[in-house]
Amino acid sequence: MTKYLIFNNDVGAGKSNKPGSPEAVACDIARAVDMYDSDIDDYIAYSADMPEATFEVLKKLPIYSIELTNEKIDSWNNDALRIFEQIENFKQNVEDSRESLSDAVQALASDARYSELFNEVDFESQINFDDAFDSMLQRTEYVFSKTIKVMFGIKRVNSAEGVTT
Amino acid sequence: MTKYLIMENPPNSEEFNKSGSREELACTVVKVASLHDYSADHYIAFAVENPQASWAFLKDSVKYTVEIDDLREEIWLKEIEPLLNESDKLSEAIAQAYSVIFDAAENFDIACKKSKNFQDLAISKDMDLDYAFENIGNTSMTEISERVDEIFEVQSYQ
Repeated sequence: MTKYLIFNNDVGAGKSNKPGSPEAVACDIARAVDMYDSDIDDYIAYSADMPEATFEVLKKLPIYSIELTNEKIDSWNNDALRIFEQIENFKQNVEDSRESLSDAVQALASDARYSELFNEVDFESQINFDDAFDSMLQRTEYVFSKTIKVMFGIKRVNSAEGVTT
Repeated sequence: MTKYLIMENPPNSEEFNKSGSREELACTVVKVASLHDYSADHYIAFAVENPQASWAFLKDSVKYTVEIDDLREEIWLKEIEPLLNESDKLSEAIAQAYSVIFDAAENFDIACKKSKNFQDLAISKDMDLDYAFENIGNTSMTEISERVDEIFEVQSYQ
């Protein structure tokens, strides 16, 4: 079992983890826990026993620590990522539906604006679906994030410092 | 101005409103004003001077009356009908969104069931899509219905 420390990455410094490496998996898990608000390059991970980790800790605290085994890495690659794909698919469907509804409401509102009878009716404000759609997305990401957190035992080290995009 | 009397058209009736007639419009006005989703032939209308209208009064079978004249017919065609079409499209978009999101949530749940580590995860029940979509109601129909009721002086005798 190897412990990894995950830091905010200064993208300008030109550092990144090798795709497919345990460090990259550690960052991907951190990103899932953060509900994919950030890009993968916004994170960088180092094995805790490597000098880079010590050097990095002297500059700033890590945001997460995680202990990974080959079995956990396999679970991420072969199980969790499939679920993540389904979440992405779900999110895409919600966003597509949001767009269709938005178009339909705008068409209705546009007709109303040019109508003598309905020009004072603000259909766009009356028919609100953004909150409901946002809630669907947040709920899905939250349950996935929570499960990932428990499953991989990722620990938040520095709660004051989030990943900046 | 002509008053139209609207009554229920018995299922086996061979009488129908002539397509494009004011009688047909009178029935559509009632459908919109009452927010009912009946078929086009559910009601039949007669102008008040029509002998059948007197007969309907005697039988106490009048359900609604509406007022239609040239100006109101023009308002219907130019203002209300286009808005109703857009409102119908919005209702269809909401129904379609429900179906698409419901299917995506089900697919997600199925993928979780098949997985090794995420079997306890399920979003369909968690999200309560029915409740979420109840809150995305198409309120435009109520708005249109109220105006139609007012403009066409819809009276209910039920």
